[in-house]
Amino acid sequence: MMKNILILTLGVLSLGLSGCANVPPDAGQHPEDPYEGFNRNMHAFNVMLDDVALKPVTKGYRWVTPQLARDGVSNALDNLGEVNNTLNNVLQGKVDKGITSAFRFMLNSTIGVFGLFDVASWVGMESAPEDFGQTLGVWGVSDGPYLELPFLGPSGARDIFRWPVQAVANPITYVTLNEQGWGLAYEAVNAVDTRSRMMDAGLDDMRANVVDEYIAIRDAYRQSRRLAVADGQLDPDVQLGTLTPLSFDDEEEDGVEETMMKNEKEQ
Amino acid sequence: MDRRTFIVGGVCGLTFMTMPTFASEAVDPFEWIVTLNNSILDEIRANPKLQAGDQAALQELVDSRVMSSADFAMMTRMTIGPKWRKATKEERQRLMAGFEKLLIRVYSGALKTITDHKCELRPTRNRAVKDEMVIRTLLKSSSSPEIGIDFRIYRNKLGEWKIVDVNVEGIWMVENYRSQFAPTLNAEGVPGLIKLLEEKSDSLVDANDHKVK
Repeated sequence: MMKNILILTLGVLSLGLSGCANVPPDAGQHPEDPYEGFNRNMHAFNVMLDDVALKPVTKGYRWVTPQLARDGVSNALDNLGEVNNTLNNVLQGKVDKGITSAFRFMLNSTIGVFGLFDVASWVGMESAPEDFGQTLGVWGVSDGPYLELPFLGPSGARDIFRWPVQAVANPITYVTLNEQGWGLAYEAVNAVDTRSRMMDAGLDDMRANVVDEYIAIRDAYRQSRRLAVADGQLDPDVQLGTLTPLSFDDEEEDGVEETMMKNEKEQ
Repeated sequence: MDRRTFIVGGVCGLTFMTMPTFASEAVDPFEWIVTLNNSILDEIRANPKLQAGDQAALQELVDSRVMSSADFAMMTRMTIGPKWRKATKEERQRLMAGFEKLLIRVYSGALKTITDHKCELRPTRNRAVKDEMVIRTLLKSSSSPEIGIDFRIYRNKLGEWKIVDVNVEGIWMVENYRSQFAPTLNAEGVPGLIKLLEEKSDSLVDANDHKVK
């Protein structure tokens, strides 16, 4: 399957894709994004792919299936990821969550009918999604340069490693080892389900309100990954330190007022 | 200086002197954020026009409730960076107007998903009050997963708390727009960004008109 993707990508690239994207003259100056030129072209490619294939197919999918069925598909796909969650929770030292993930997989695969129903959540076993990119982050590996990958979307030098581990830890990989067709079908369903969830989350509304979509997605990805590595527990004070400082230095309009107030306070 | 001006000035001075102390001591920023959000959520639920995407109703809510709790000039200045200093008064006004329109559209999209949501503080060990802080909250509802929303606030010179950035599920809004604006500001300066913002808002108005028809 990877071979097919590679051939397709190279095909598209050789069609002279580079130059399609609007690469600003200051591209690559952001310390976290030295490959901005490449990334912007990949982004243009992904957006093109989304416009001509993924979005229309997903809209069709949403039109023919009721919400309940779509939730079932999402649950089943999430369930296949529980092995990966088990592995990565344990690798991060969160053995309890690893055990919960393993039990979720067993419970949902059986009583939950191949994962269609998230029975485990109903009995209070909450999912704890973790991938190998996060594990590396917990181990102290920094994000590395940002990368936008064809088909896979936003990633980074560190997060690239989540994909092979995810594939190795996914039962489907072994079931479809000699059935390339089914492997591709699985990838297609996965892609449509992911896109459908993005629609639920309002991604397309948000995209309408950005002025530079590439940067909006890049920064959102970087920030949300940092939060995911910290399991949502970023210290507010540490967070403040990473943000743009407030600037009070140029208030010539009300500068007079300010001095007056200051004087009055002192009196 | 005649006597009357002096007295008026004195009274004004007194109000200014008492107001900040009153505000800073009385208002707990944690409580302020939660109360503010829940009262706005109540207002949204009470007004069906807002969830239907009525622009006039939305503008009124933003003007009456949201803008008074935020330091919008500060937010805009943060997205522009050092170039703000050299911008003329008129340019600053147009930047603020363009940025406001952008944020209102984001806000309007979010409003449509509001059901029985309630804003709660995230449990935190550190409740020390500082002049600038991040207040972490959760937006909970019975029907959908909880959403993490953090507010970056600061105490202005009048001692009032003002919101300067909002973080939804790990993503800071103002910071994100600051990055988005940077390439245009670098290449075409403030006039280029104003043009981009105004074109953006025009094209979206057209798209919305088209949808209505």
